[in-house]
Amino acid sequence: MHPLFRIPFTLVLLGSLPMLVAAQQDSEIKRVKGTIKVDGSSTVYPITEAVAEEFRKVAPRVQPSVGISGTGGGFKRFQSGEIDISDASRPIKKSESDACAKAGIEFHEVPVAFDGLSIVVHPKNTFADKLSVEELKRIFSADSAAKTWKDVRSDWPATPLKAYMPGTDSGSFDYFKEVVLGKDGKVRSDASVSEDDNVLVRGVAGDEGAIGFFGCAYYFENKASIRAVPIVSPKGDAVAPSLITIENGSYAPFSRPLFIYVSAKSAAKPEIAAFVDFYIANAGTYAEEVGYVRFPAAIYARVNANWIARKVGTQFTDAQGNSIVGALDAIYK
Amino acid sequence: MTQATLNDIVHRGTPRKNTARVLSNRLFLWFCLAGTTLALLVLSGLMLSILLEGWSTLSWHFLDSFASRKPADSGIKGPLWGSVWVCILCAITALPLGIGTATYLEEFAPKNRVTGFINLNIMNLAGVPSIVYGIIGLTAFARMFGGFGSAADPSVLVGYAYYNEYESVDGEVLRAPVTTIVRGTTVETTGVQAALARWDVWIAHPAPAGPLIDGSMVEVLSTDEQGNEHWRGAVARIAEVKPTTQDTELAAQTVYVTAAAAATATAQSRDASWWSISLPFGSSVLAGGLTLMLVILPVVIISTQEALRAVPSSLRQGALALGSTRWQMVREMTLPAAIPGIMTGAILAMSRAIGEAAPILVLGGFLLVFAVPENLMSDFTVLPLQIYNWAGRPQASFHALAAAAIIVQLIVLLAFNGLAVFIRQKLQKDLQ
Amino acid sequence: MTFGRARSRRFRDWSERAIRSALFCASFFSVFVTFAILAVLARESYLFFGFDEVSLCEFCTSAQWNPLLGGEKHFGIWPLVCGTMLVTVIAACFALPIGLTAAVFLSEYARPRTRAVLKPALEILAGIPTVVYGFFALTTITPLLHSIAPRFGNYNAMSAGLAIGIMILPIVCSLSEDALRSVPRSLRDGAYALGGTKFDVSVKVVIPAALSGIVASFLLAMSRAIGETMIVALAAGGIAQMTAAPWAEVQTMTAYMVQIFLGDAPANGVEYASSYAVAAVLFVITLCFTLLGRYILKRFREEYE
Repeated sequence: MHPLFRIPFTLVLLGSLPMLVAAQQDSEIKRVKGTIKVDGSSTVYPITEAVAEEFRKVAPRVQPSVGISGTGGGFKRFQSGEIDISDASRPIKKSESDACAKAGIEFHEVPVAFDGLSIVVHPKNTFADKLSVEELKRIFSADSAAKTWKDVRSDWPATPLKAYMPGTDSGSFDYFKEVVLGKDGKVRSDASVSEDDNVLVRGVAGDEGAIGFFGCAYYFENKASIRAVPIVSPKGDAVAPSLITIENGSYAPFSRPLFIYVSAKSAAKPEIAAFVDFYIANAGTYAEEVGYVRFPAAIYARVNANWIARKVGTQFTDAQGNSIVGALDAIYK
Repeated sequence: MTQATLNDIVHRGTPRKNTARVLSNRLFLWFCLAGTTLALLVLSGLMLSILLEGWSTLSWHFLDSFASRKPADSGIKGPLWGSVWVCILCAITALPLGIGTATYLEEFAPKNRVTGFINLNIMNLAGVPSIVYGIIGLTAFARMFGGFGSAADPSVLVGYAYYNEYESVDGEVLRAPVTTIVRGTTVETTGVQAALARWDVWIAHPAPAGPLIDGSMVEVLSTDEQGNEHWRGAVARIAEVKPTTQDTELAAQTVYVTAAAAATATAQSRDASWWSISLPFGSSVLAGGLTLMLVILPVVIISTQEALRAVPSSLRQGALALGSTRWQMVREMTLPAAIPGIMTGAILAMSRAIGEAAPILVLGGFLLVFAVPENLMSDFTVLPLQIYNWAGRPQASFHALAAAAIIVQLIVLLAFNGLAVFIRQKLQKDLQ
Repeated sequence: MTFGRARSRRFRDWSERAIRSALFCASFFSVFVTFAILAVLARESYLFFGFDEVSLCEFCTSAQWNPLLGGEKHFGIWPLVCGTMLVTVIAACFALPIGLTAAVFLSEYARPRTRAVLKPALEILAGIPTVVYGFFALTTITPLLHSIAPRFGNYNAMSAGLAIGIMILPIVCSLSEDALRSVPRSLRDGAYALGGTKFDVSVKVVIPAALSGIVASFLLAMSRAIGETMIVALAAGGIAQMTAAPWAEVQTMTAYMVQIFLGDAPANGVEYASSYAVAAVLFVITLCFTLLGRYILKRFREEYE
């Protein structure tokens, strides 16, 4: 029987391969088993948390663990091979990718969503109706470092001004600095620093003269206690951050991408591959759910293509090892 | 009573001279009362606000589900069991070590410079911030000073059983034990070798329809007239089938050959017994327990020392006079007499261990874990870390979760206390 | 029979020696831990001082600490030390007097039944995660302070200090009470016999007699306050500055370490390495506290048997 039977069987098998693969994947993902270790930025954590939770529903035998050691701490564990995926609120730095190379760890870079940067003040501060980039520079630059609001615009009251911001290594800072202070600008050093956005929210909410900047997700969550200042865009109109203005690019300068970095060695494991597939397919949905902004579909298509090709390395460092900052669409191919 | 009467006598005797003293006495009482009341008010206010906020969230569902981004679905199964594991590991390492150290220092050690140095050292360790212990735990336990390779590729593995996994035609996972283990996850198997040998035979003959591979998985269903065996067993996944030729006859063979090659590497899994250990420990529940052990060890030692010091030396002298050795004296007299004090110290130490978040944070403990620890090398999270995260979120519904988690933690703590009191009483009875 | 006895004695000697050496090893473990701490901190600090931006001289003398802001990074440890001390002093001012009076009340005035309830309750309070006190500071103490004096912003040293004070209160109270209770009854009786009031007995006899224990409890509480991490990370703020103003936002050494360990700074950079140097300083400070406590204990310890 067998030779005769075997040929049609194989033909059927080959012909229906794509369909079979799809059907197979569904049942296969249920059978995939293993653990996934994710650690890194607390900014990306809410997205990863949502993805991990939903992934468990389609792949109940996989056990993801997610930590919040910060972007730097996450990469440190990533370099030493302790974790499979590193959450990052900024692109990997040269020193970190060098360390990975030294340890023989190759990685896939996967941007997952935008985080808009909101510039916020205390709700009782009603005079700051809008801010131009020039005025932001007056506030945050080390050279001017406005002491009161009067120093920013002369018809504003002389309320003491206090700045709350994340540190220079954070992704938010990189994007903010690029726009406001330029490449060589120096930021004032008397600001209150935290990379935990909750801390910044509370700081601004408790101080009438405060100004701060951090991820929009935290602004959306806390609209009652803080107020986002519309920013004068290059075109001249003042735009406030919202899901729409960030996604359509009218709030363009102040948004940054969030990433996950997947170890190439781990990506060979079916459970990790399935998880990242799931992550890319659903990143937009869950990112929006937790207050971040989805990429345009074209970017997700690029992300997916790069992931399927298992492209290694970062696209955010140039040949000299400097970080590239700018619009994601232009950098990420 | 006697004191009160004494006071009365004194006051009645010289009333005027003592007005100031009586007044100061009265004032002091009020002062003490005020201090105590203030302390109690603040602390009970704290407790009450927690109880009020968290009580309504407490439910079986809360205890028995993993954390979720949706407050209503969220629970503390992961952190609760993580805390329990970590605390038990911490207790069974710190208590013997601490009590042993204290016993040596108080009962055996000569009073010389070395002993003095060790004592000073322990006092100093008691003051070291827990976050520093987190750093040490990370370096010494999680990474083992880099001496045993990385946690992803541990160089020493004890207590694991290895399996090759295959998927059967029916889609169930079949597992064949692996016999030879070369380093880490690189596994060589006699099972697959045997299977490949069979494949050679199989390729030489016409292939059966429902193929299989591994020797240990093979089930011979029937043998036909040509002598072909019909087997049932594992197949590789179809996604990995890559025919390399258009020739159907050949393609069919290639399909199966590729499948065979792939099937040898379908999956490998290992089963850990609860005591399995790999070096370095990584951010495992064992590393967490040992790190907390470092944190509370000095507390245990110092309180045990205090308890031993409080044992009257007449007891010791009596025992020694009767001809017992030092250890017999310690075992029969001093330790039993000091047990209540030791247990109190142990309670205080454990309640510190259960509330520590900073060292676990530095150690790289996870926050979101979807499994209860099953063995010493499992990932884990602890209650204080979960509380930190929930309480830090802006939404009020997460604050209620945090409060409920605190209540659970206090209940666990009460259970610890109860256990200690029970042991204390039981041991005291034995002494009598 | 003689033979049997000799053998059992030999066995006894042997087991005695085995146990003795096992216990010695246990006690030597603590020494090992200390050296592990020293080795790790020294190695990482050495790496830190190897960076170009850093000099040991600046670290020890400069009053500027801004590794995460500004164009030039400055690593002068004093603002962090100053912040830590400010918070610790506030905590001590709150907790030590109240803790001691509560301890005196419990040991000298309270009925045994009251004591039996309050003492274990205090011990349970020691198990509340310090995170909880941190949020108590943020959600209750800070708004309270703000309503009293508006200059208290959302982050201030006072709020964190008070929360730490509340946290160490049970420690002070419980340990001081132990010390007071361990003063022999004969001393009290003697003082009463001489006509002392309860005040006289407590303040002039019992407290001095228990002084070493009380000081030890204070020091333990203070070192807990210095090393407290989560409360300051939540409530004290993020500006490392030299100030003695309780309403100011300060950063403590531990808060800085948390900021780095949870932050975005690359792990092989100078900021990350600086956290180890800060940990080393913290270690040295607690060591000083211990030595001070040791000295005080030796100087004032009174033995009663």
